[in-house]
Amino acid sequence: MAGMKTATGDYIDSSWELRVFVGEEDPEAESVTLRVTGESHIGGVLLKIVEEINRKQDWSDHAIWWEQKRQWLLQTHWTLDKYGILADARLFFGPQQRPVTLRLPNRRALRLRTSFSKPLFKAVADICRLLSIRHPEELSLLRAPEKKEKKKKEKEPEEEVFDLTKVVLAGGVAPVLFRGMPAHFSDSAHTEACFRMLSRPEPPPDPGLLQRLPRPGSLADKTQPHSRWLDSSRCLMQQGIKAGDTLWLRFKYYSFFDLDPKADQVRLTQLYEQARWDLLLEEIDCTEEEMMVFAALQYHINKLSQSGEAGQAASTDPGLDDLDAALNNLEVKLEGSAPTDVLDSLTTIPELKDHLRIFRPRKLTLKGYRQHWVVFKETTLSYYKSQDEAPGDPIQQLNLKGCEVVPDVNVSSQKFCIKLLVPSPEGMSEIYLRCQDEQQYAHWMAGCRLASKGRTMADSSYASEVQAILAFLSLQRAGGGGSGNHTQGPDASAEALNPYGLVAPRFQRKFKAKQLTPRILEAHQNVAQLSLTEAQLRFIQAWQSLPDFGISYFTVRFKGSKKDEILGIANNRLIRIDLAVGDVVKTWRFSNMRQWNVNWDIRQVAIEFDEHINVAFSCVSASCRIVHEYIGGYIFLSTRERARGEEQDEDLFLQLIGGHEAF
Amino acid sequence: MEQLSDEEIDHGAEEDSDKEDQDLDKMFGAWLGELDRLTQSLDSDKPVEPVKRSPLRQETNMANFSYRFSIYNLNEALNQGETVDLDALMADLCSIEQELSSIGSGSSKRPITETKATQKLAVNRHPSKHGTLKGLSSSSNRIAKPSHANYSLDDITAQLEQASLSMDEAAQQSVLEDTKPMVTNQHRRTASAGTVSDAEVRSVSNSSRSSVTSAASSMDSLDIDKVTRPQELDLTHQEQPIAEHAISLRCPSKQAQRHIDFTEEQAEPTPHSYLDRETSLLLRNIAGKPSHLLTKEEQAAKLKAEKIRVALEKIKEAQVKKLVIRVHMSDDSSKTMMVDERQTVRQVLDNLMDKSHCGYSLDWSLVETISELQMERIFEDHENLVENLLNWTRDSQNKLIFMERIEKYALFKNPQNYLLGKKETAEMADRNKEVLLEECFCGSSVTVPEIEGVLWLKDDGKKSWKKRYFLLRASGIYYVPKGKAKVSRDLVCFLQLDHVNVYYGQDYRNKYKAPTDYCLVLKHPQIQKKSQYIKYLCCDDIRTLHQWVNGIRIAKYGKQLYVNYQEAVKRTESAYDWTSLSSSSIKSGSSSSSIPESQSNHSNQSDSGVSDTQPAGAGHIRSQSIVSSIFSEAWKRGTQLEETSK
Repeated sequence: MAGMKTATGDYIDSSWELRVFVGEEDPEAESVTLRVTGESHIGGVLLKIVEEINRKQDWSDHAIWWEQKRQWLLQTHWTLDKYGILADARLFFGPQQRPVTLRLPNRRALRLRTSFSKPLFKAVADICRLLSIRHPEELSLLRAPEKKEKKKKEKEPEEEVFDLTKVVLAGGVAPVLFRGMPAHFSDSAHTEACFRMLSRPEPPPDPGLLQRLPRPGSLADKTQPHSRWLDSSRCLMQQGIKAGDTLWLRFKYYSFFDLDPKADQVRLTQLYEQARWDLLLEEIDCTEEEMMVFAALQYHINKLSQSGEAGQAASTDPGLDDLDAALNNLEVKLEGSAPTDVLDSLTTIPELKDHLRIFRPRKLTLKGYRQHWVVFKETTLSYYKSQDEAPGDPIQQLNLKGCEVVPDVNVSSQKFCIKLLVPSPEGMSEIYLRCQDEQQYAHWMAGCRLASKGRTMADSSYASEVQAILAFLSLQRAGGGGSGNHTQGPDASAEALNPYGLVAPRFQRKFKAKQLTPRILEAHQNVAQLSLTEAQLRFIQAWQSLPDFGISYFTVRFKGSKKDEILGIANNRLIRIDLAVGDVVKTWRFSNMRQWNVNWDIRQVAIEFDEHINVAFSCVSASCRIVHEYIGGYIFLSTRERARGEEQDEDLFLQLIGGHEAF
Repeated sequence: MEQLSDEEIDHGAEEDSDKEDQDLDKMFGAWLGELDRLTQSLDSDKPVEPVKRSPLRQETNMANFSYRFSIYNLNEALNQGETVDLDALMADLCSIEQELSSIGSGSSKRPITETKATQKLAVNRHPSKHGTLKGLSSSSNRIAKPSHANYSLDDITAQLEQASLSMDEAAQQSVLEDTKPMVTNQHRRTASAGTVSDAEVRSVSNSSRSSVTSAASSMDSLDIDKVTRPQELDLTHQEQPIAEHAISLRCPSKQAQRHIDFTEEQAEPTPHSYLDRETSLLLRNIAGKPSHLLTKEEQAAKLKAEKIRVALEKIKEAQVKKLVIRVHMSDDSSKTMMVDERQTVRQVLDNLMDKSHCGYSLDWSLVETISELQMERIFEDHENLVENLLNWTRDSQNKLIFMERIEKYALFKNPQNYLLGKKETAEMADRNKEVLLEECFCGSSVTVPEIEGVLWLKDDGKKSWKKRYFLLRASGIYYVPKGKAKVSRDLVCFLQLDHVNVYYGQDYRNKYKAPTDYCLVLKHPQIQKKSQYIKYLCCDDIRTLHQWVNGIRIAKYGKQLYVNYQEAVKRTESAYDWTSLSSSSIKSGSSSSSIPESQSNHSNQSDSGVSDTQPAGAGHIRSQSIVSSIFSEAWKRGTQLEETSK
């Protein structure tokens, strides 16, 4: 052992003194001095340090960080010589797990401990395991954007930061579910709240905030976030991240494997949140119609999540078909109620009869709404001049099966219209029914909706449909449905429909809330039956089918070209885009790719495709390492299908993203 | 054919007025014999006399439904004086019945099933024999319903309620009818095809139901003799028998049974009310009791509840609509066949291919032509045929054509021409095609190809066409308004695809002065006449046309299209022996290593890690090599066909 001395106190072996600081990179930190030789193993050194410190503490997580080389000394069987450590090395004996603040896709902050010594790919996998997000390879961390110094000190509202630093996960074991959440979340009220935050969609943001947040104005702006990705093959420490720093956790690769509503509660929610913010902050463009659908889905999701109807409640067993329902019903009936009543209810076909005002838009007519006697039976709507003529032939009879039902409602002005577009061999007939009040409207509307699906009012869902419509109207009454008071605070928007929190700011500028609300409601009609997870899935799918979905932009300069251009990287292709106009110049698909490599010296990425097409470019907006990793990452993800059910092959990933060569 | 009139026809076997009927009698004779054998084997200890009668009665009872005339092409058939292909129709009926029973009873391939089919044949033969009766009652004989049920079923109120009314009738008849053939046979034709007519509801009251009733009535009398019991058990144990299966099981012996219990039945005027107050009380009492503790009465009550369950299942069956359709073949001939409303286009196509001995190919399609609007559409395989046909008007000139159409699945044979948004056609390696298809259709969402370009749009009500720049997105078709850039935010929605189908326009250069003949039409399926709601688009060349049509199909149907294709390939494959081809295709797949070098290396690594069972060579190929081989075969066939058709 090192430190053998003669009687005079001279060291007779070749040992020397090694100074090790205890704690995280802090020059003021306490230090211990050990006598070591070049043959000392790291493990032995660690032991000595602990002895020297002489404090009772769990040191198991501590390791030595070599500051000059920016390297952890993790191989305990290696000797100091093998590492090349001499007496002048600045070594820090500190914890590998350190706290960071994560900014989640839903924009909430979460403090947790993560490894500063493992490659980021692994650290992210651990984080995702803690958050119970499957397929961590799709996510990664970004540096938080540098905050601009605020000129005047705005009062930022105190933000709740969730803390998971104390939660320790048992290694290697799949998290067990307990009370509908992974067991490690059910320890305390705080962690439970944390899980709710992770797995429940957030309410719509304050429209004012949306206006303030930065939005990309050009393609060049869209390249900015991508310069901040951290390197997956190196650890956080090596990338200059310090304990307590804020990092963003985001889905990096837009290739979401095997989304499973049951197993992916958190993943689905966070993905939804990322998609939602993408749309609201105009990171991705969509058309007006698409925005309305997105808005309707957000509204619906928020409503469900507010009403506390989480995924489990909404997941009715699809196997329970109408027959089973009928049988259940039967059982109930068998237990009570006189048979005659039942027979009565069986024999009466529910129908609606009332005076309604009807309007049929035609060319060259100035007639407005006219009062008629309207009878709605089964799926057929008939109207008569008056009640007296009802037994006779109706003016018109419409079978509503397959028709489009569009609400045209304005609660504040007491307008309750139903627009029906009824297909017939001759074309569509358009007809408006105007109801007097909410009650009447709700009943007729529910009937129309059922009829359009070919069901009658005898259907068991009729009553609930009526209730849903009434609830809907009351929401509209409370909200910005034309009252002119739509720039309320965020708390008000949670209750009512504030359309401005649901659409991107450019639609806020384009439309008044009064105009937006009915359009969102119209779109909502098509999604009103979805459960929370179904709605989230639908949202994500609609997002995925946008043409610009999943393209990460980088400013590059192609070899031989004199101007900067944009390179878009998607999950299956590379796209060369004109920087100024935004037009696609050329697309290369990964499936045609033979190889790609990086010349680290000149920071150039060279790719060879089939038929001897060679492309080379240097990266301007981001390090070429990030571009390289993006391409390799997508190719790694495309191998997942065949390795289904297997542990992710980390080595393969690191190899594909060039992690190994980089050392 | 001369019996078009509304006269009532006795369906008793004694009725044989014309030649056809004699013919029929012979057939009946054969069936009766079979029935005899069946019934004798079922209840050998029964007196022979009633058994002999039972088939007859069976027949009359079963025939007690009203016929519904399908209007499709009926006029045409009459005008042409063409003989309707009765045999084909019969075969149809037969196969449909068998299919149905096999669906329901799963593994039960007992001889019973066959006899049952024959029985039904005996009944169904009747309408078809009359030649002109081209329609068959929908629900007809496939119902067994509990009578006067004192239970409530929200979903089925209407039918059930009417049915139970007619049930009474039927039950009463069944008491009387024993001695004479049924006089009340309704030989009814309804001219409307789509609506659930009175007659149809009435037709619910067929004998099979009443036979259930009477069997039940014998149960009620707690006189469960040896003959009834096995059958009852059969009924209750088969959880999901298709209606007629169960019925036919019991029918013959039930008749015998009834004979014996006849007096008792009369004594009990409402034997068929299953769950009277008493029973329901019983049921309530026995809730939660272990079965061995139940008294006999309680067990009976339980059995009744069970029967209701079975009966409920049958109610579903009862609502099946059927149509007799005329399918035109590419050689100007036509076939008449029956489809029921549950059949998809794929099933109908399979039937047609079987029957026409045309060889199996992916390209066989059912094409709907709307002559009035000069447009046509290939039905997608997953679509419901009856639903689509019901959109036709009564006097429709529309036709259904069975023919090979390359464009049906060209999308999957050469995906690179449709999915990449490129203007020019290109070749692509099979392996890459497969990757491309997987990418497009097998992800968590379907990628709609980016199709955009200038198309001509017809002005409403005029024969003039205007150019516009259109774009296809998953959410619909958009166009770029004048003076605006091609960015998402400025696009104007032309239409959304949920409610429209895409058709090929035919000869619009003449009809509407279209700039070219490559037109596509978007319209709601129910619209059958000229209307402002029909949108006409015209492309510069046929390539663009096909790109648009296929793009719209993808946007509209998504993954379903691919599923259809794979299903079609599977069918075609099972019809042929492809073993030689598939092995070669695997070989070619592994040799064509156009895989990126780095990728292939890595994938080898991962594969070897993944599975030891896979041979090293095969591991190289994607694990869905099945898909790949399916694909490459289909592709080969596709190209062959394309070549031959050129």
